[in-house]
Amino acid sequence: MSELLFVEQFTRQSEMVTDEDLLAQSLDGSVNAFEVIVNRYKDRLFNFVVRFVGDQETAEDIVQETFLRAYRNRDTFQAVAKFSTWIYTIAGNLAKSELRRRKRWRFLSLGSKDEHGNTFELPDVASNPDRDAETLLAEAKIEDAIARLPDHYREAIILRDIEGLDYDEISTIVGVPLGTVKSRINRGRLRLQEDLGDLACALWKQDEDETTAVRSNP
Amino acid sequence: MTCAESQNLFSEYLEGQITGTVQQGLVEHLEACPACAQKLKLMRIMRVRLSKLDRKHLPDTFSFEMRRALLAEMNRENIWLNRLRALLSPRPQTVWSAAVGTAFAAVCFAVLWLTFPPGGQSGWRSDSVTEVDAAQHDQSVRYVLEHLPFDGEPIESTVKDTARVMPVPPSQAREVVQPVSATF
Ligand SMILES: [Zn+2]
Repeated sequence: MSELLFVEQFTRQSEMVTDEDLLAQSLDGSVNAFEVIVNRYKDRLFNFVVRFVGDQETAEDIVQETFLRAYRNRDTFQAVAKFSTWIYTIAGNLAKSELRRRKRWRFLSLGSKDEHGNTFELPDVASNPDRDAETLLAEAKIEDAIARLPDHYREAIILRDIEGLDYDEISTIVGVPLGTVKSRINRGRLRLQEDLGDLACALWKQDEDETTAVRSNP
Repeated sequence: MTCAESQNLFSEYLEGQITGTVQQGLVEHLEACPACAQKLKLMRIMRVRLSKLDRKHLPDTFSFEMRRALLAEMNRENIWLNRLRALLSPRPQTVWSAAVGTAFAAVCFAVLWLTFPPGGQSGWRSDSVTEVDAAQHDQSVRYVLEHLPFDGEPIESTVKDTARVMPVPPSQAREVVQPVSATF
């Protein structure tokens, strides 16, 4: 049986084990226990980081580095905060460092790339058979509008509206007071709507039609 | 309530975080202001859309790469851990090597201390070196003088002769080497 299959089985057996317990097991040097944590969080962290930094390869590196740092510092983790908050905080800080590094680089190369330039790629319908072309195009435009948000709004919107974390967790992860988090989320959403303009209205109409159709054909 | 004030409350209103008079004030504004009412509707739709966005996926190779990186990290950790353990609970072999090492270092230190003492003068007795040197010079002078080529005439050992074979000033040499009378 290969190591990864073992980890998969271990993951299934450990579904009831908390992150904190797994972390404690990994203190004895058990990589398998830590890999269960990796499997639990890798996709969630990737979804956060890839939208925050905007490119897949960098996001992969950041997610890997996040887990390595968590592994290295697993003995210093204090069970005061939730493990998920801790790991998101590490990922968020690494992503912010990357964005700062890019800004410095852009500043040095005299702003060759417009930060608010339209960069969304046309969606690949073939690889998403369960989503129609219209939905994919709308999603691509929404993703692009998210990418154009200022960093601090983008981070809050991803954590709240895409990852579904609660306000207190976001406050700890981002390292700002709760009031600031609420205000960033609200402003971010309003900005997103303004940026999407006509598309937002079209989505609204589409959703209204769907609701009407469901009501008339229960 | 102004439009800006009402819009600041949209998110909290949608998430059921405002109550009482604040909520009442917002509802009244929304009834009177179609622009804000539409913005609120859009925000509600936007939230649903964002929560349904397609999930991004890591490539399949990620788990392999991650495992490799974690194992490397674990090995690095074990090296330091083993060093620490060896220090805290040493095996007899380790104790012996540590003892031999310490003894050797102590000897080296002592030799260096005696050769180059902090005061500047050598710790070894300096006169003993001079004595040995003088005795060696003495012997070699005797040897040379005894084996000088003999052409039938007696050789009177002179200060000049002594100076020739001894690389020291004659005045000093005389103290050490007694001129040999080469009368055969
Ligand atoms: Zn208004």
